[in-house]
Amino acid sequence: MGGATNDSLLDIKGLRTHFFTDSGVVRAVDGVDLRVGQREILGIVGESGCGKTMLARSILRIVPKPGAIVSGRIELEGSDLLTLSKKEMRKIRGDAVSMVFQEPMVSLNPVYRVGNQIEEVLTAHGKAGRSAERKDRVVELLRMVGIPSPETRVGCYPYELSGGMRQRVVIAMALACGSPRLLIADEPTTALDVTIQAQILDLFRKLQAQLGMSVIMITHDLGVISETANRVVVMYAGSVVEEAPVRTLFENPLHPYTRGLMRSLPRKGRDERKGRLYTIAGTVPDLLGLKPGCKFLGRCPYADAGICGGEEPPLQECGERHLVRCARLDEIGSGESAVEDGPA
Amino acid sequence: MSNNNYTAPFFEVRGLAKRFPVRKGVLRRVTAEVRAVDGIDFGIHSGRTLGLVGESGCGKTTTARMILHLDRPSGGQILLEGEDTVSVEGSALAALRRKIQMIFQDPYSSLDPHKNVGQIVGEPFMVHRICGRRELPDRIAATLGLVNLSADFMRRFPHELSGGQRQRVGIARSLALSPMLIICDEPVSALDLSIRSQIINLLLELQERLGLTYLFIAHDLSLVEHMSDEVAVMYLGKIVERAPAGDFFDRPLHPYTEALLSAVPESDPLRKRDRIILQGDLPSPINPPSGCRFRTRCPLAAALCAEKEPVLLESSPGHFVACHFRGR
Amino acid sequence: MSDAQIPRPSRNGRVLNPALRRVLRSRLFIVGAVMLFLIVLSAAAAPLLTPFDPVAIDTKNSLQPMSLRHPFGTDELGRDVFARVLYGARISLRVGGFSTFFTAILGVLIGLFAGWYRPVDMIVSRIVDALMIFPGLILGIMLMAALGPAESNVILAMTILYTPRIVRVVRGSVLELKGLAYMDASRVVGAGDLRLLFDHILPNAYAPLIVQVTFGFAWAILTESGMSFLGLGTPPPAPSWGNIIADGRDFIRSAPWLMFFPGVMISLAVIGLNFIGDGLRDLLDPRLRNTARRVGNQAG
Repeated sequence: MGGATNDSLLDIKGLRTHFFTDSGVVRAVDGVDLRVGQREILGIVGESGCGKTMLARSILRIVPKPGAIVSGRIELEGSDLLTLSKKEMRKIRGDAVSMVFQEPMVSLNPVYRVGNQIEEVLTAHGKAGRSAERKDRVVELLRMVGIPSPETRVGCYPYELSGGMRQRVVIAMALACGSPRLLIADEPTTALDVTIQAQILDLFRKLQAQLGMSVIMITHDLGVISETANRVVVMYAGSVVEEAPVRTLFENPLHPYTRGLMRSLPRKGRDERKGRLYTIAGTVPDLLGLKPGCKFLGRCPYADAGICGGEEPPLQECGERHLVRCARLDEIGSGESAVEDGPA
Repeated sequence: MSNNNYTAPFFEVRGLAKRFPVRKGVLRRVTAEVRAVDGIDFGIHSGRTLGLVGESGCGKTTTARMILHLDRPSGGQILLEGEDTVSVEGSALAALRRKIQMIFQDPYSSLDPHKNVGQIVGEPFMVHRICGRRELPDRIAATLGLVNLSADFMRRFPHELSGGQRQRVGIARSLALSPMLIICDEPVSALDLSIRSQIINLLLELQERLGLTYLFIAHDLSLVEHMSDEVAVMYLGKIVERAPAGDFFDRPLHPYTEALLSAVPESDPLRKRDRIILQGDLPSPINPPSGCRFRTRCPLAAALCAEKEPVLLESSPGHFVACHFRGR
Repeated sequence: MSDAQIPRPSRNGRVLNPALRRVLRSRLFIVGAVMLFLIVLSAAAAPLLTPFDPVAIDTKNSLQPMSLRHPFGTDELGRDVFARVLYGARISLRVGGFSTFFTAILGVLIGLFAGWYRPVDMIVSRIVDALMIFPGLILGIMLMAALGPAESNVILAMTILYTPRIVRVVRGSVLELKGLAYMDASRVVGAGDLRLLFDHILPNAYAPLIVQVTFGFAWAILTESGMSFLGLGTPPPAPSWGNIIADGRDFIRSAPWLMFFPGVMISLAVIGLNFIGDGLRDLLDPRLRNTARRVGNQAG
């Protein structure tokens, strides 16, 4: 990856997180290399089973059983998070690295007032101070995330707030200890209405600029990525298949999966209304029975069993900071003309 | 609806309303009402698709439920081929069920886990006694064929199927009775991205082949634009704008529609737009704002908006909007 | 929400199969099942296992301690205790079995309709609440006093006592399942109330019901014994375990075996059934629903 290494905040090398189930081993994260720069918003996009959520949980080391991080390094400003003790890791969570989840109602405890829940984060990280100071800090946090009349909202229970408000509270909790170096947001707006989503994404952008933190934005929504991320990583079945600056990705997607995805989703102006859409054949593969070779084999319109079925191709650089995991790129070319309309 | 050659729409809703009582206190007295749907009108012509959009609490789900007789309307009419369907019962209701069907959103909870595909798709045939025992498997297989599932699927159970396959089963079930109108409630939002277009294409193909009329409910506006001939947007129980799809997306009139469209994240970074970000939250449906319901978040709001509720008026042929300032 | 985990079709595809396999892996269930099986077997094979008639009086041989001829000794009327205990198993299983059976049928029917129709629920819930206020045994005694001593009355009384519990469980399931999308889907294709209740809700409500019925069986055996002990259950001279214990009360010092063996049998039967119930509870329901999805969701 281009750029000086001392520019990166987070450096993940060769991460493997596997699930050891009764039916076999699921390679949820299958050898992922990733870098997040200072003050950068990195988007991770992919559909279910691609490993994006487990990647996020691996960074924070909150992978649920029967999963476990099997190998790799996760370096946060030089020190490998995977070598830290549990106590040290607890200090990092919520402080240096914070996470915002998809469903705010699940992140918030329904029987505690929101003010108390934010205070708890402060206390847990030893940033308590006196009671009055804490309360002021909570109000300040609520104001920072755009909640109107924060002094009164402090005493509210989660059910008294709307979905957008709850998500703002969750963001406030993530930022409670000051400014995290890295904020991970896993589908933070998927459960929200589109107008509220716009508000929340706007909030993310403002906070990121204001606090100078890096953000990993995980989503399956290409539109969200396009609007928020600086750089994008596309994941499929546990591996990174493409990585590029956001404009490059949308102007010139190279990996057949990325291209197929972008072509198959209805887009304003491009598709004839009520016309047939391009389809990607097949379905997302079963992570239990993965065969050797490229994971997209079987759905790829350009696949050649000989070339693609042997070993999983490596990630190659194909342009300015543009990486693609495909062995057939030369043959495919990069024009739209190479892609045929698939059958329904 | 104001053309010179006026033809009544195949399916029509007039003044449809649904009010839920709010009960408080030990004696459970009714203290207030939630006006989930507060008098809406729309029509769909045969073989066409009306897209219905709106955010949570707008009433689109309640509307769908009323059309399907899952909830009883508090007022208004639902007309199919000119005849009111609200008060039908007994065998008339059974006949109605054969004409209006639904495709559900969640392929995981919309199929009975204890029944196999054959039983699920066969249930409509059995309930309406459409054919004898011997022809049943053939009819089921034919219906599965419509959604490109082979007859082998009949013995499988939902937990053995992928999300896309389950949704196909749900679609097959809705087609079993050869309905005329199908309500599609977020048919692909619970599916993986890479298979959505398969189902979308299937729905379009079925519409063409079978002459189906769709009421298409979705929050993905790009999808709605792709699927619909006409689009209506709801806010707090009312329709605030209704227009042919092209007009709706290219020349929206109502401020809420504008905000909604501008809020959709644009997946083409070259097409940046001025983002209209609505302030505040949805008002309570128990006590909606006086006059125009949208005025508390509307950039155009003025004194008139609090006094008088705007009526849905035709601004250009087929394009209706409820706003004091954007009507003409 | 995942297409990533498409489970391989099981051999005949029924939802029960993976559960059945797990059932057989549960030690608790197997131990309980074996215990119950042995009791049933000995009850059925009683004539083969003992030459004595459980009600035959032989005062010459009264209060004999355990011996080869009388493995459990004899009671004050000279009746062989082993024979009484074995034939007593028949009574416990019969009375317990029938009352559990009727309880299940009645409880399911009432529970289904109560869960489905609010007006029915208002009446039923009040009755259920009222019945459950009384401690079981007290109510049982009252009923038996009113009905008079007879085995069939014991069955009737116990049915009345336990049905409310089943009604509650079934009603709870109905309320939970009523709002699921597939219920709406069936209604939309035209299914009527009866079909919805019996064809869709009931099959999906089996799990907590089966567990509760199993515990109900254990409860029935215990209660029948208790009522018989108090003289208000199965009328003597029938060798209900409770009766045997009651008879042995006066001789607790001199002939402790009279109370000991029937007591042990009751314990074994109840423990066995409880193990089965526990084993079933661990295996049924939540796991069944989530097998296909869990791994896929975690991996995403």
